Amino acid sequence: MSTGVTDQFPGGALAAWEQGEAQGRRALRQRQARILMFVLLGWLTMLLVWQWGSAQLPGRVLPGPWPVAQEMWEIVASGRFVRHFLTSVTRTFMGFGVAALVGVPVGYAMGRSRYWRAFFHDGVTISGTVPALTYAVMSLIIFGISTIGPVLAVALVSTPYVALNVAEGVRGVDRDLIKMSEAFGRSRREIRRHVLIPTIVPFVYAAVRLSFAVAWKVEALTEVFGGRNGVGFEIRREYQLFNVTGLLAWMFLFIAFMLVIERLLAVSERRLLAWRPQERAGI
Amino acid sequence: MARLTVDDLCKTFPGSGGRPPNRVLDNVSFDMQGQVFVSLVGPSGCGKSTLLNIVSGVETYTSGQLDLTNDEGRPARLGYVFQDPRLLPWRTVVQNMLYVQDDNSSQTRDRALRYLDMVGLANNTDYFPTQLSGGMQQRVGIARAFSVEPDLLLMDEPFSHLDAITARGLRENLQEIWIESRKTVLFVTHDVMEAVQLSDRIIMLQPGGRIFDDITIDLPRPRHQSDPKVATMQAEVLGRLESMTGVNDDVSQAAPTGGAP
Repeated sequence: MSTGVTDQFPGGALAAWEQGEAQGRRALRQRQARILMFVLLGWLTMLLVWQWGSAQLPGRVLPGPWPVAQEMWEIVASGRFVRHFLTSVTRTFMGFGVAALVGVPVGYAMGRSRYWRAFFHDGVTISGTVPALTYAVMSLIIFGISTIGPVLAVALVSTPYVALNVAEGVRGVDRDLIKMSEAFGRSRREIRRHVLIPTIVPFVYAAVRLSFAVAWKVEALTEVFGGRNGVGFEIRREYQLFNVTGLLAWMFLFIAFMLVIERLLAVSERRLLAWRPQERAGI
Repeated sequence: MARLTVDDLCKTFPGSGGRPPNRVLDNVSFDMQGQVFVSLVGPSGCGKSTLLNIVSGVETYTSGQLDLTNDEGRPARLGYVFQDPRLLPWRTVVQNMLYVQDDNSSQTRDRALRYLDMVGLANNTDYFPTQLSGGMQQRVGIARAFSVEPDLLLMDEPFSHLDAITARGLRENLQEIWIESRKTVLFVTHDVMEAVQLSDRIIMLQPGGRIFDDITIDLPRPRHQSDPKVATMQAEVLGRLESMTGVNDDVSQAAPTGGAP
């Protein structure tokens, strides 16, 4: 790995090594260019199929890519995009907050003690198996049309993920590092801060990334059934107006937004976990 | 510096599942103090690691006495080098060094950096452990143990997981640091060559946990493997270790060469 410390090479070997390295880089660039071309071809094919399909059906049933793109632009330009997405994102993260507040301590207890593990295990498993749709509907029945409903649905969906991942993380703590810390006279607080928490953080991140995709959909779904604002609400409104163009526009914005958030999570994870060799390699 | 007195120390692990209790240390007595490098040598299973753990306080003993104090008569401060480096992977080299310090004064920091320099890692302070080779990681482990200014430095086969060439380099390095710092060291190893090169004194344990021999190595430092005087001494100590086989029948099971499969 290039980040590692290289030893001293004799002159000839070093030159040969550098030459090989340059060749390797060139081949890598060519391969990347080819891959990019195939990605673009894939997109082009998708758009062509869509265009073709929309030509076969009446205009209002399946509008083509161009009108949808125009509608997307209008939604963004009018400020509705920012307003509704901000609402949905805020609720999703509030739900995540609740999930973390409940899931981290539960997971910690499950990881530390076999008795707490026994206590929580079935409950967590069951609540992780319940279909997300059920949570959406249940929280609507209980809370009606309000902010609490969607937040609760998101929290219920994400908590088991967080709890199980944190438990896994705590169980994976390296006993040898704890013994080392004790041998050097570190306090329990220091051990928690420098050994335990850094062990758990990657697991929490994995939980957030895994459950985000689900949580975000649950959020939108809850808004479809009983929201007064948010992305899901907008999608339902377009549905009621039978405006397929608007529906598709919101859907694509939804997808684009979700990909951006996923990317952001991945980048911040890579920053935070820079010590892991696979993060440095950019995998 | 520390004074360590061990008197008639015994350790018996209780037998479990119908097996008889297992005596691993049998009336071990020795005494060491001041600027000495003492090695505990013996085949695997002779109780040398257990003895080290008892000295460090991780393990209890069954009977006998153990007294460990520093020059002022207070409990000695310990430094530890393990078989594997045991570095926090999420902290950089210098952060790992500072983790085991009791304060974060600039003086402490300078001391940590000085020891990193002594193990040849002055330019790698901001690397993560996974960016270093195994040998370099173990160098950090050694620097870490010295940097807490221990009264007694305990080392548990610190080079046994390294390849021969890397281990050789680290041994030379440890010797240099020791010549400079003259800490009290208790060093566990099964490698007689290593023990002769590094130690002032070699305490040999035999299976069953009895002291078999106590040898003083009176050779000038720095010592090199290639030096004929060192080689002669190594041969002599190895000879004594081999004579152990005749004394105790159990050795044939523990020693790497002998015994039925």
